[in-house]
Amino acid sequence: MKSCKDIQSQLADFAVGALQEQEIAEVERHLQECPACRRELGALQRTGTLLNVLEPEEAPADLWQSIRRDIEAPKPEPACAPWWEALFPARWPRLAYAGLGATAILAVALLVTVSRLSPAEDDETQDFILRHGMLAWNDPLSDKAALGVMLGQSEAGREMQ
Amino acid sequence: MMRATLLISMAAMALVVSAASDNVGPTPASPAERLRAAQSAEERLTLRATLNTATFSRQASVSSQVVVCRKPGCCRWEYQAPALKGLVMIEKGDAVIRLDPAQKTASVGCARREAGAFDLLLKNYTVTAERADPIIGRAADVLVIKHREAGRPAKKVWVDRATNLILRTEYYDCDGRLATLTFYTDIEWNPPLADSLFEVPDGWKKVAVGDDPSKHWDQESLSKEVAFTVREPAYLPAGFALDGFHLYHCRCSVASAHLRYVDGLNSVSVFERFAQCPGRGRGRGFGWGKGRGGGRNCELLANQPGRMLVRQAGDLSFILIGDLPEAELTRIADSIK
Repeated sequence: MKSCKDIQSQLADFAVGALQEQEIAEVERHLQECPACRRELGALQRTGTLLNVLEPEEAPADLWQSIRRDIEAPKPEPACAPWWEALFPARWPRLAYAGLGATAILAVALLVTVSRLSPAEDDETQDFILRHGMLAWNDPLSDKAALGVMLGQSEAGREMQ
Repeated sequence: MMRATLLISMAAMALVVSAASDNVGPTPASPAERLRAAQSAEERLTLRATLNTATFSRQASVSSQVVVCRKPGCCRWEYQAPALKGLVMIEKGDAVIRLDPAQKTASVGCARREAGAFDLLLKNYTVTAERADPIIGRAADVLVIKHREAGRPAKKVWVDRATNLILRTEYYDCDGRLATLTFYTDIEWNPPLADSLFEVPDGWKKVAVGDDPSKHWDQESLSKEVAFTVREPAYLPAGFALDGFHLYHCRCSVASAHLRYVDGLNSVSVFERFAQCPGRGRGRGFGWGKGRGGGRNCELLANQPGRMLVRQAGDLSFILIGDLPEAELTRIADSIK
């Protein structure tokens, strides 16, 4: 039998379904007997829920221009070479830094856009997803308790209205 | 004399055989028979219980404790998680009622029960008894329901030996990941349950669901209703059969054709509608995401197992939803001509 410490190190993966089948069974057996670990799992899941309702921040429209200004602005030479010069050698051309900045901006923009295009956040497709789930209500062995959670999570239960 | 002796001997042998068979008792039920009994067991039982349910997805994991009150023909689920804002679901016969305490609104819908659906499940899935595993101190057997082909969802259920009630359910999505988990934590058998628990409270507003899924349409009548020719996919993954043609209106009141296919445990929905829905273009995000009409890549659903794929062909949009590998969902979409 694993200790609480071992189990708690696996709870985050357990909460998102990232464990192997055998590990899941081990954690579940432990959870059935251990209120402390159940509380820990509950806290993890509540945190996950809170994080999921946060809206991603949109990058300011002038972010690129301001970074470009910063990159291209002449900088006074420091008296002695600072530590970061070892990481970002001055002999690199400015274009390389501009490229790095542009890549970072594109990566952020892509992440924000992809997260916003997810079906769960899209009014247009949410109705269809709910309808699909609702019609499974009386399928054989349907887990109605879990379906209820799906309906409750939806925006005011659009399907039923 | 010999004949009489022979008859007496045969009668004695018959008695011996009969007594022996009485000692053997009834043949143990096969896993499939146990599952069939479990499927209908809850409808006969009266109980008040607490269960935990959790849905795991790549984007969010949500769990709730649920208080369940059940008696023959009725069931009530009270969700305790604050995020669900006091949600109550009631099933009474074929009616499914959603109580929303914040609005004091009861949304009343209808859920169809297809008689042959369980037989379809047994045709497509194997049921095996894995092991005995007690739950909340009750003897239970773990039954594993797996599709005959790889890349399909699977289920594990813990069936109570005494009542056949399913005490625990694990649903694994088509990628083999645990997607939902529901299990009882305590059960009170045969408590008194007031009829009012299964009714809409006095003074609440009742809202009927617009599109009744129990109404049967055929391809021709549905095509007239939605004002375009409804198309069926030429390809379906093995084991799927048409469940029905349905009419569905999205929030902007545009009529869509909803074609539903089932394999007993899993389902695939194909929604078809005009691409120029007035509700389109309300998506958030950067400019290029708004008003998109060119379809979307296959994406995982956020709140339930499965994927979604959106295609556009001419002036029609096709939205496919189901718990299938991306390649299979794409192949179905490609076959809609």
